[in-house]
Amino acid sequence: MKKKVCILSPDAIKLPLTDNAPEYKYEGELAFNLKEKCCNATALGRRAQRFAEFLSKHFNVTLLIPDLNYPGKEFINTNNINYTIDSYSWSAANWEYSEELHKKLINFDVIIIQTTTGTGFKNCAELPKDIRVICDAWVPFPVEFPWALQSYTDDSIRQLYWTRGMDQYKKLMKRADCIIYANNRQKSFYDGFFMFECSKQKDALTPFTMIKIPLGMDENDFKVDNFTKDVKLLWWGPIYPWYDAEILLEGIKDVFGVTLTFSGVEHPRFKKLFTNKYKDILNKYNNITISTSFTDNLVELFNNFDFGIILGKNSLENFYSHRCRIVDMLSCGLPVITDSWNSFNEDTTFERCIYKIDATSIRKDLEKLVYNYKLGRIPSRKEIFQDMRRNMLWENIIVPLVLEIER
Amino acid sequence: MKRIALISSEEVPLSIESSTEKYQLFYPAGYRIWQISRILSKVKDFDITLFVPDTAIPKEVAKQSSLPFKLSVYAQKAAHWNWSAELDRKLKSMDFVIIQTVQGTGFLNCSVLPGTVNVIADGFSPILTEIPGFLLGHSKPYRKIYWERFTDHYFKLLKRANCVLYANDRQYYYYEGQLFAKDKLGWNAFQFSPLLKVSSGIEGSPIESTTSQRTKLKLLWNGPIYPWHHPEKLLEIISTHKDISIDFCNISSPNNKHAFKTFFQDFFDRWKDFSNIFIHEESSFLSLSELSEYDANIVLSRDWIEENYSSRIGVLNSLLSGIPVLLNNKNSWFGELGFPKDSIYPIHSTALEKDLIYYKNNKNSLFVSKDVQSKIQTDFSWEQTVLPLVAYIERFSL
Repeated sequence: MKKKVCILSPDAIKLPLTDNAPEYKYEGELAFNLKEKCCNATALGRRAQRFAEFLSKHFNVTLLIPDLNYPGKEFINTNNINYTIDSYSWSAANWEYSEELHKKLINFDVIIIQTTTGTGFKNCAELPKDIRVICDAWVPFPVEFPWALQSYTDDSIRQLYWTRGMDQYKKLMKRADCIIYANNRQKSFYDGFFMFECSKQKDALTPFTMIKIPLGMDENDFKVDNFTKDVKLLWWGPIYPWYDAEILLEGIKDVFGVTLTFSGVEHPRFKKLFTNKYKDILNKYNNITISTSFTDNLVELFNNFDFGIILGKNSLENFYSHRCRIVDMLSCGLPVITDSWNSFNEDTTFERCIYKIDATSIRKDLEKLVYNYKLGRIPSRKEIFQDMRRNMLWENIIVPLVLEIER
Repeated sequence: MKRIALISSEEVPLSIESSTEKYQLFYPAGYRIWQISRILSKVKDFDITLFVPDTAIPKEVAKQSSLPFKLSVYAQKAAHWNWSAELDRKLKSMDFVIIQTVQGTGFLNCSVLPGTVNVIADGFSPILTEIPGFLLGHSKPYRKIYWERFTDHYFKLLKRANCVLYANDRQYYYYEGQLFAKDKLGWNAFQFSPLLKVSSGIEGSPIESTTSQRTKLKLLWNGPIYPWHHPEKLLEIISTHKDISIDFCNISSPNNKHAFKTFFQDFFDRWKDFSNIFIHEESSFLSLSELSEYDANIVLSRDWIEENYSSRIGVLNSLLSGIPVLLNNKNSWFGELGFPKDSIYPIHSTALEKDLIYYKNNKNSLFVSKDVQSKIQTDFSWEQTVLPLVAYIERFSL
């Protein structure tokens, strides 16, 4: 009998809709574009969904998504999926204990919960011991949550939410039977974290059960090269507070022979982040192109560029991050320029596909990269990317999780 | 003048000219803090006092030391797992106190020092990963009580510390996890943790690496054996390969006699009569010519969490002496030295026999390159490794 696995997504996934799905979703009197609400997946949702796709080959999988992003069972096209999609009340489960969620979760053998947003923390921390709780800690909560708290201006409020958040987070981690991490720095972080939180540590000579599941890749088409006189850089995806678009803009403005495009910079739901902060910043620069729309066809987008570029600030969040947009770009054969602090620089899997620049010498580093690129000194990419991608395919990456669940 | 106290819980050399091999092998914590004291004492306006326990060095002997910094003896019994009035009196007049997070000596004292004292906890040895190993063989209640007491004192010290030193890059993330777990870091921790890298260091000049003409692979295990080491596996495999030999030297130190006797004595007694296994029970500090007889040093550890965060000090000394090292494949030294193609070589606990046979058949590929030695001299001299600590202390105006 197959094990029953529940994956709790804290965010929207890419829902396959039926042809008769309505244009709008109503919440009270408010109308939202259904596709924007229910089909624009965030990194969290995408990962949960990929887990569901691959785990459903071995187990009975249910993917629980927030009711905010759920159009109704009748509008979900289940023809090509092997897992069940169901909803839960997000407001009831976000930083709160939800009876509704509890009634759903106790029917499963295994729960996989992402430890990013506070959704489901209380519920999963209290689950009975016969249910295996696997915490997908690929986004280290303690280093990302402080950025979310920056939206509050009062320090005492920040402290209040921090205390609540960490308290629930620690209880969840203590309850966990297994932790998933995405890169080696995270592993070390959690090893240190568990030194205090694991009551069995005095006997533990081997680490707490942790498995490495980075973001995987698919065997899509690679982008085609489209050489022009300028080197074309792409910043793809929303700008969050932990990114450093400003330093890039300043660094690039006097670099000859380079163009920079920002594409998909407006988060599908957190539009205020762009309109209140970054729109004005970007508009100050004449030598860039800005597009807010999202596209599903990444290869088509990437065909127009030579490099992806994403710079993070010198911050703890950056040290531990595992950026899905970097993985997306690499999987389509687009080499990526990133800052020297990012953990991707330490992973030898990517060393021939990622170019590191220093935040203190962006202009000089970009000029050198452009110079080498134009002289053909940047090695031919396709074989390199094929090698890299072979190691990162989802079907291989997910195996440790399959084995862990089967245990 | 900045008054800086460093607390050793072990024996230290009493003069700069002392041979340091005994201390490097048997008192690595004492050796490290002594070296840090030596480097800090060269800085203008740093007034250095190294505190040493009376169990290691009697007062009258300490008075005769000819070190470039002050030596002060303290009563260890009063400071070990306790708050000591003597240490309190001596430390609270200091501007900086550097204490190693090993053994429990001085923890309580340092955790309650007034805010005017900058407390620096030296976490070079990931002690929480070592303790479970040391506790093996003890009863369950003993292990529980020891662990709870240690972590209670340790956490108090960590929480009080203004700065925590670490020895390799992996330890940085490991300690950061601890600091978040214990609320030392909070919502306003964006960019900087109170963590500072002070690697293990070396001193001395490099010795050129040589390869021998013999066909046998001659290995050396030089240093104390702790519970996380895995010499039994080496013994089992080497005993069946007459073309590989191993010498075990200095394997029982004053600090680990109990652990050695409990876990390893029997194994060594069982294997000591084999013709290719040599166990030197007494301390024997090898001369350079004796060392050069060996093809490689070897340290095999169990795949415990300790191995991930260890800072095996002997590796650098071996490389500087021209002796390559065989180490667990995931040891942090590979990354710290930039994944060199030579000098340190991986062994896998799950494929050890295959690895040893490979190295025996490719003996001439085992050597220490001048590049690696040069890198060690540049990046890992004590002057270089202690530099961040000097800069940290200098930043503070009194």
